[in-house]
Amino acid sequence: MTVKGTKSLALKETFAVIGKILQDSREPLSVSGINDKLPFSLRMDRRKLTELLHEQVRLGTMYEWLPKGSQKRYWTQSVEPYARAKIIGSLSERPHTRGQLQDALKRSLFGCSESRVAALSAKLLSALLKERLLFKHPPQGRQKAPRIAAAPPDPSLYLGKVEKEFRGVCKKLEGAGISPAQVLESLNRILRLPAEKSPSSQKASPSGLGGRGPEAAELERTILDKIFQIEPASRQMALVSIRELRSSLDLPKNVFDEAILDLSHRGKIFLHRHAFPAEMTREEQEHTVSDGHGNYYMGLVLRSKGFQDV
Amino acid sequence: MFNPFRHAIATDPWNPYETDVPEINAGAFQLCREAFHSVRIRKRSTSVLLYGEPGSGKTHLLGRLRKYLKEEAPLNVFVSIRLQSSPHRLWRYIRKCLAENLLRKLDSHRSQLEFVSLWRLYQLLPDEWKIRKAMLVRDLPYYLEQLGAEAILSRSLCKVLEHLLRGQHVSDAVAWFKGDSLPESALHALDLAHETEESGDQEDQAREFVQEVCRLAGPSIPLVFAFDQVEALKRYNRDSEGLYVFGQVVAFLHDQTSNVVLVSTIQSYFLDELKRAFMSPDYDRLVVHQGTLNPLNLNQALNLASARLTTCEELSERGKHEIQRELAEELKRIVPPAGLTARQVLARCTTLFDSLARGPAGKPSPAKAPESTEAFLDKEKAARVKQIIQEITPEKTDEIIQSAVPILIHLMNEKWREEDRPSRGDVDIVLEGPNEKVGISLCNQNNMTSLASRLRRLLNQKKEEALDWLVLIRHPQMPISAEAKKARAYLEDLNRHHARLIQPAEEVLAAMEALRSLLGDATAGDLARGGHTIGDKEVRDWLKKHMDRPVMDFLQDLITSRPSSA
Repeated sequence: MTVKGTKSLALKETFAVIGKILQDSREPLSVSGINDKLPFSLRMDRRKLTELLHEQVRLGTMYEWLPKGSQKRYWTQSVEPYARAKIIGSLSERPHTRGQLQDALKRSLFGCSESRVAALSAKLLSALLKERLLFKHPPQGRQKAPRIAAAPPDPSLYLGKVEKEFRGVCKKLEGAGISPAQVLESLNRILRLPAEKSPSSQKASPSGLGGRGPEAAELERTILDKIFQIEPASRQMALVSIRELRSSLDLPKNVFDEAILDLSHRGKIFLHRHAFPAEMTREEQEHTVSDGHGNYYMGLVLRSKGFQDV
Repeated sequence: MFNPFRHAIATDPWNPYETDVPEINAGAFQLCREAFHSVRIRKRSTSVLLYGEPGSGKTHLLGRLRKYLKEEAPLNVFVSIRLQSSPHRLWRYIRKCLAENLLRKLDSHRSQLEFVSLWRLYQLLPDEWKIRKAMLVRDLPYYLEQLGAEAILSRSLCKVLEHLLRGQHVSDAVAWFKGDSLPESALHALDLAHETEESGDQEDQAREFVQEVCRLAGPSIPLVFAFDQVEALKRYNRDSEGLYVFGQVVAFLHDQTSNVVLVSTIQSYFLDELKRAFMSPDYDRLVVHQGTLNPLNLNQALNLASARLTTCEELSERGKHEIQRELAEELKRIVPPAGLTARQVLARCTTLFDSLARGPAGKPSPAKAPESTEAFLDKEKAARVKQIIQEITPEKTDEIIQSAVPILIHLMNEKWREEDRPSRGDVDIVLEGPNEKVGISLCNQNNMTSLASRLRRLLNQKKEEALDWLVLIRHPQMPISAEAKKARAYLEDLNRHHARLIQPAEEVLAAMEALRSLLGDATAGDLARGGHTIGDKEVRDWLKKHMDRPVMDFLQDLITSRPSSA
């Protein structure tokens, strides 16, 4: 082999070894950290190694990480996707305030400055909230600061006082022979009155499925269970065929259609139209959900990756 | 005044519309980025399937991906493929598209191919040359040989790369890259051996070529194959052959390469059909990752309108502000809870902008009857024919005939359709009609040895095939030279038996290509008049009534003019 060939092989081997070191490393490494882990025969002076690393960063085979103090660091994982995953991971376990989240992120980013973490956290949080991968929870009970979580807030957590009040009323009326179910029925009637009067609300909730009564909640649960069953990737926002969902559920057509439209109005799902409704046969149209305005929906997508209410 | 909303259909990811609103389809874009980085880090090919309604921005998203790769991760090869092809020459079509994309110039004025080859060669250089970023031209064969050994490249590919890098015999080298037939003189100049040109073998060769290019790029350079218009593989109703073959392509690229990112886009309504047509293991490989392009909500629609409006330089800031207010009012009124596609939003904005830009005192435009779909299609076809005539070359004949004829014949007479039996050697298309079978062999070889071999094989083959007659197609601008005595003799023999030579005029080929592309765009939801997407049924109905007379005569000739000897 020629001298040229030998040197080129040595350099290639160095790249490969550095790649392997960074891939195996559980955290980003500084230039001297990388040099220390290199086999003795491949070590080089700091300036040359920095140049090589910069070249690899420029070519996109590795990433420059947030510095620790003034020390530059390198890794095979890019900062932003890594931090995004860490934020979502932490919030999937429990909701955090912004401060708690920043602390957790700082621990995950292997010792970089407070100000850098704050800037990165603010940027990523705003994007994730916009994408509806994360949700703001208003403070509940004695909490002062809002929380951020990977799922929309559960309304039942905000109904503590209402529950207490409700039970009090039930107790009061118990002596008069009124059962708690009758009290609930009256409350339902009271709460639904304004919605029935307002045409816009009526349009938004045609089926009465949306959290109004245990039967509706049960139906929503059944539909969502079935969605996850027939398309496991639906949690990752894969399209679910309405035809397939309908045939697996055995519900009357109008009940199914209204429930699907209601889920869409309540922002739980995206609906996808058939591109060319005029080209469908009558039988094909029957399998879709129509909104009565010429739109025939043939697929649905869950809006949030979380959708943890099932 | 320039209407910034008018451009609503992206057709080429290499030239996306400049204005982009990153929050629209951010999830699907993120998925593509992650897939790309996972291939780079894990050294394993992967696949993403994206779906959305027509006009939801699928091609625009591919453009965003291409821009991102160019700016943020320059070590890659981007290949955009609109699948308007015949199932029986899909690998050849992919090879051609791959070659065209590889030869596209980047900002540095180098092509993707030069970039990839030089990068690989650079890796082989000794350090002192690396620092100087230079290589002696005389050393090129030595390093190419080293690269060939390392990446297991064929001698032909190394030779052609050498010519391209030296800038010698470029047009012949490019033609070889695309898989065109080369005359002996060109093969000689390129120092290449003669290769078999039997159609089954050509598909295998094209597949091997694609795989070889993946090896040339090597583990550090991922290739992104962006497959757009998958629906256009469907030739007619209840046709699943094209999708089935595409499934095999996906499975091959996924399993037999380690540096490929497959990004395929389809319309949401097509998903069920795609699932049925694919073999289950192939489908699993297609949907390693899935993402949806969802309808735009009101905020996204407002952001899109605002982003487009800022590009209108002719308007004063005050004018923009006023128009933006009006647009916002209108969008609040029309965007339903289920959302609208970007195309629908832009169509509404286009109309409103036109009327607002005229101003209250503006001269009203003369009352114009809205253009009918038929008139729109007539105009669109004429424009496409004009464009194709300027670009057509005899080498495109095979592709046009093989992808357009089966579709147009079936449209003209529903009793005729293409037979989907596995390869019949040199018979490229078998048309099946009521009690009749016609074979078509594409004889557009530039190389007379290849042409003679094909004609000889056809002569021997005819007895084994249950064909009523055979049609040989050759472009009129490809004469058979006087020296090609064997080719002429075989042709005469074939004529005496059951074959006939037809030489379609260039205008007929251009018209067929234009009709095929119109139908392909319509099937893929990429043909729209204003906000209205024109479906393939509308185009088929129009075509049945308005197919050009010369095209009809040519098609009729194929299936009715039985040779006297047959």
